Amino acid sequence: MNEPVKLTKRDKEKVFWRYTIVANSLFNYASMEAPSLVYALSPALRTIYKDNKEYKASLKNQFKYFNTTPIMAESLIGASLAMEEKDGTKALEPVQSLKTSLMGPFAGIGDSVFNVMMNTIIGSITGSLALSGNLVAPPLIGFVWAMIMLFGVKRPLFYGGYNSGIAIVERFGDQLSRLTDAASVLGITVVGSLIPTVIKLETGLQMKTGKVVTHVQADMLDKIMPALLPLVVTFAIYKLLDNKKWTPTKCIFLVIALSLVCAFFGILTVPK
Amino acid sequence: MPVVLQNCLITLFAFIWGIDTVGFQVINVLTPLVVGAITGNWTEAITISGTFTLMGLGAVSIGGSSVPNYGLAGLIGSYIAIRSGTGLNTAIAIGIPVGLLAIQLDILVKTLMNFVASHAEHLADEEKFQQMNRFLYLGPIMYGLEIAIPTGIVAFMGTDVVKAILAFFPKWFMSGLSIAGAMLPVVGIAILLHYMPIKRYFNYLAIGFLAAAYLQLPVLAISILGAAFAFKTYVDSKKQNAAAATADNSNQGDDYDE
Repeated sequence: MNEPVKLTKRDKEKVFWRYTIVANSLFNYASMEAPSLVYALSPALRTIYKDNKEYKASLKNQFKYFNTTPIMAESLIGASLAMEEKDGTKALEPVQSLKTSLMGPFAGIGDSVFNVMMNTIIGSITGSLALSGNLVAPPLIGFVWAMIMLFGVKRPLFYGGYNSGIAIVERFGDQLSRLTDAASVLGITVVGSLIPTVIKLETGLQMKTGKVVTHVQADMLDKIMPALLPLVVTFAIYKLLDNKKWTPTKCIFLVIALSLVCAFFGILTVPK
Repeated sequence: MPVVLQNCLITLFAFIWGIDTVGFQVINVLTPLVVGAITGNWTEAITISGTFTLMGLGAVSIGGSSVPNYGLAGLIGSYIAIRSGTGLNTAIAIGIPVGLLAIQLDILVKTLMNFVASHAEHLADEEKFQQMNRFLYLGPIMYGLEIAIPTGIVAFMGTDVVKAILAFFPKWFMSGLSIAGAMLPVVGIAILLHYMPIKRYFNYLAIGFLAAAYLQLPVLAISILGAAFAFKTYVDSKKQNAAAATADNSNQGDDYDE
C-alpha cells in the first residue's frame, strides 16, 4: 500500500485537457472509448501509483469497456481520479462499478441533450445564417458555442465529478451501491429504447402469391412488432457474448460478414 | 495561390479537422473560413457549408453508430466547387458520395482501432508505459487520415477517381457495408447489456423498448421516464435498508451491500 498522494491543480488540469482533446479519437468497437481514458489518466495515475504493479492494475481497469457521451464522461473521469487518489487500488472496483453503471444513463442524457438537441439547434441557426451569405455570424456563433461547451460545461463537469467523487467515497460510502443500482434502472430503460432506435435493420424480401406481392418487412414483420429484427439480433449477439470464445471483435466481423451475404442475396436492404 | 499548394493546405486542414471532430470540437466550426482563405472565395465557401450543415442535422453518431459525414462532404464539396467555379450542384454531387464513402472508412478505422487498443493494453501488461502512451497517438492519427485521405484523393486526382472507386465495388458490396454500419451498434448494446443487472431489471428494458418502438418517444422523454423509475428504486431500497436495520439490531445498517 502506497502513501496517499495529493494531486496538484496541474495534475488535474493535465487530465482534463488530455481527455478533452483526445475524447473519442481512440474509439474502437471492442472497448469503445476506454483507451482515451487510459491516455488521459496515465500521467496522474503514475503520480498516484509509484509501484508498477499497482499502476498496471489501475491502467488495466481503465482499459475496460467504456462508452458514453465524451462531454458526460468528463465527470466520471474526474470522479474516478478522485476515488483512486484517495483509496488507491482499493478504489478500482468502486471506480469500475461507478463508470459502468453511470455511463449508460449519462449517454442517454448526454446524447439527447448535447449531440441531438443542442447540435440541431446550433446547426439550424448557423446553417440558415450561412445560407443568407452572412460571413461573420456562423463561425462566430459556432466558436462561442464551442467555448461555452469547453469552459461552461466540460470543465465544470470534470471538476464537479472530481469533487463529488471524493464526496461519494467519503459521505455516501455504502450508499453508493444503492445509488448505482438506481442509476442502472435508468440505464436499462434507455438501453431498451436504443434497440429500436439505434440499430437499423430491414429485410427486402418479397413473397408472391398469385398476383399479390407481400413485402415481408412492411406487411408481416412490422405488423407483429416494430423493430422486431433489431430485437432478435440484439438477443442473438447478447447470447453469443455469453460464450467466452465470441469476443466483441469476432461478433463485429460476424455482423459485417452477415450483412455482406444478406446484401448479396437481397435478404437485407439498406435501411432508410 | 498555386493549385498544388491549395491541395496540400486543404488536405492538411482535413487531417486536423478529422482529429478535431472526434475530440476537441473547436476547429471544425471555422471550416468555411479556412476553405474561404485557401480558395479566396469566402461567400461561396460559407453558403455551401451552410447547405451541408442543414443537410446533416440529426445525422449524429450515437453509441458508436456510423453516419454519413456531412461535415467532410461540405469541406470537400465546397473546395472542389469553388476551385472548378461550378457552384452548389457540383458541391453536392461530389460531397455526398465522399460523405457516404466516409461511413465505410469510419467502420474500417473503428475496426482497426481494436488492434490499437489491444496492443496498447499489451504494452501496459509488459510495463512499457511510455511506449503505450506514445502508441495511443495512433488513434488521433488514424481518425485524421480517415478524413485526409479521401480529401487528398479528391483534391489531387479530381472527382472521377471517387466515382471510379464507387463503381469498382459491386453494388451489393457497397450496400452490404451500409447495412453493416446500420447494424453494428448492436454489438455495443449487447456488451452494455452484459454489464448491467439485466436479469434483475428486465422489466425496465421492456418498458424502454416499448416506449421507443411503439410510442416513438424521444430519447430525452425516455430518460425522464427512466429517472422516475430510478428514483422509485432508490427510495424503495432505502426503505428496505431501514427496515432491515430495525429488524436486526445486532447488525446495524450496513448489510445491504452485496
